[in-house]
Amino acid sequence: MSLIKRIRGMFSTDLSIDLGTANTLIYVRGRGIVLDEPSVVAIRHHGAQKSVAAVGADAKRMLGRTPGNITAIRPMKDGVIADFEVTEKMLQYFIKKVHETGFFPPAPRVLVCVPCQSTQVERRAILDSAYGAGAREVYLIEEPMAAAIGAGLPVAEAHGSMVVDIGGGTTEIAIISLNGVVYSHSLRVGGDKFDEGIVSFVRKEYGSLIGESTAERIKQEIGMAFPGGELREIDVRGRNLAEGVPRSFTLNSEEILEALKDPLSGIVNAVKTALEASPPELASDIAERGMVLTGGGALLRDIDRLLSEETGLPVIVADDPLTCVARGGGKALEMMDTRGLDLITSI
Amino acid sequence: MTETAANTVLPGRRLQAAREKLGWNEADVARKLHMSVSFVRAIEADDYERLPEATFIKGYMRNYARLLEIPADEVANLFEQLVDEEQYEEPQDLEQPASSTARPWWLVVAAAVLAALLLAWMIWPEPQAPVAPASDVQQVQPDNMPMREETGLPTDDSAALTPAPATDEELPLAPPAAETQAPESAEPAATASDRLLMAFSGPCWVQVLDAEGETLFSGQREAGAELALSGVAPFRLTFGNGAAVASVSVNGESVTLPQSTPGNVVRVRAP
Repeated sequence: MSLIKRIRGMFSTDLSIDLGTANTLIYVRGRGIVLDEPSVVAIRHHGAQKSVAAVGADAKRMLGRTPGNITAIRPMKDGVIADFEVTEKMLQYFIKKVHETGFFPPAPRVLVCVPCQSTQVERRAILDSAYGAGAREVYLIEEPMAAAIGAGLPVAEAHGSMVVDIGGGTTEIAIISLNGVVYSHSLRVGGDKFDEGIVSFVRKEYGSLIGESTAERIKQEIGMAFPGGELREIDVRGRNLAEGVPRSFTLNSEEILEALKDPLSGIVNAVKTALEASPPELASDIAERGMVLTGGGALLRDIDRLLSEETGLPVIVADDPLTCVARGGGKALEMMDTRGLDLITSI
Repeated sequence: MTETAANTVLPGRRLQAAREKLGWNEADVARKLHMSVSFVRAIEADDYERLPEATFIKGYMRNYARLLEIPADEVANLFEQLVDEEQYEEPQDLEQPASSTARPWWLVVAAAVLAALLLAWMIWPEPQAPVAPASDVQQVQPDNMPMREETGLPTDDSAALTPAPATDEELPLAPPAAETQAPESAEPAATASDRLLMAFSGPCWVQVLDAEGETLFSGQREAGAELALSGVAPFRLTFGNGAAVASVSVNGESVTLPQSTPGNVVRVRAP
């Protein structure tokens, strides 16, 4: 490690980054969640040259609304890096943003959460882009482990804890005991697949095209995962494919339930498989206490009821599920200082 | 609903009251929530010792409240207030004192102070020997004097030749090693025997270095004072005021000082 980086490190704080497909969250030791922005970068093209036009929330507003010389990119796909350079730029921007007052360019210690079934190449890409963004030291932690710590589960005890982290790109299912992951499965189904399901449902049923941002808004406002809940409605405008002009129509919760059927059944099946694969002692712990849902997907109305009815186990939603992973990563950084590198995964 | 103050405070009691109003029993609730009856009873009794971590309890209460169609957040908040009061382990409580962010600045300040001290140490002049307490006759011994005790005692032949331990006590002023046939091992003691005596007629600053360049004495003497030192000759003497030096002698032989220089500073090698 170069001396200059070490000196710059004195002016930087430890960060835990939840580099998600949909949102990137940064937790700073002692300050809590300091950044929660969409993982979107807007790139401006000047002929062959590229420059960053906007990052985060500003860039997300441009998504799908950009002129020809700007492209808004989501550099993460399915929980892993799809565009290496852009991810590095985005991380650089975010790290700088949380160190606004610094005189030196920041060189923090960074802990990044990675999907548990990401390949070595994917992990190396995340590691390298964090180093490229100026980090002094980079550690990786598996997302479900961070989620479990963030949700307040007793990960260090000889008790099986099951956590289902439904993120934007992936759903991570893990059974954790004694600071280790006993079973884990990563499913490339998440909030994005819910949105896609809504888009294709609307195209099929209403012959209209809606954007992903609209689909996300529909999901957040009226989406539900289990029948029998309160029926809500929303007015949506989309481009009618036959007429070619924008048309307004009304969607209700039942229709969205239908639209989300496929991705939801994927998650339910994966959870059932995890329970089948868990060692009997841990399975009995899980049967007694239940499983914990984290991630943005846990905010989908009645998704806990769906899983509870399908598995016959208690299912609870963690407090503030969106920030669980980043908070857990921050706690892991603190634990790392006191207890060593137990929780940290290697490439 | 007939709610007393206690019912509104304890979340479990509130859930129990709502359940009883609906006419359900505990087993119904346990079946609907896929939980054991003992957990339902523990929740209603607010007996958190029999339940898992706070995260789970809060989640169970939310689910239970939703089942009974009473506001889930309200019940969860009641529980949160309760655990805050009881200092129950709270997963949400992540705000740490700002010490960790302040640390780098401390490190920087400490490093700067350390660097300044190092620099000062490097450019500071040679450390000077401590000034002996003022008395008319000074006896300052070089550091290697105590070695005599070690070298004199253990060797058999030296003990046979000289009754060394007996003479040790008179050592500082009367160096016996020169007279006795000391073995080779006693060499440091033998060389440290030269005696320097100075007398002053006026206030004068003095510095005395021995043959190895070690400072034997450095300080000021008043009029009429004497200074006796023992060390390894030749000595290098520096007097701040040459005119105030009455006499200088080494092992009884007097040393003549050169003519006083314009600044009155006299430097001399003796003998």
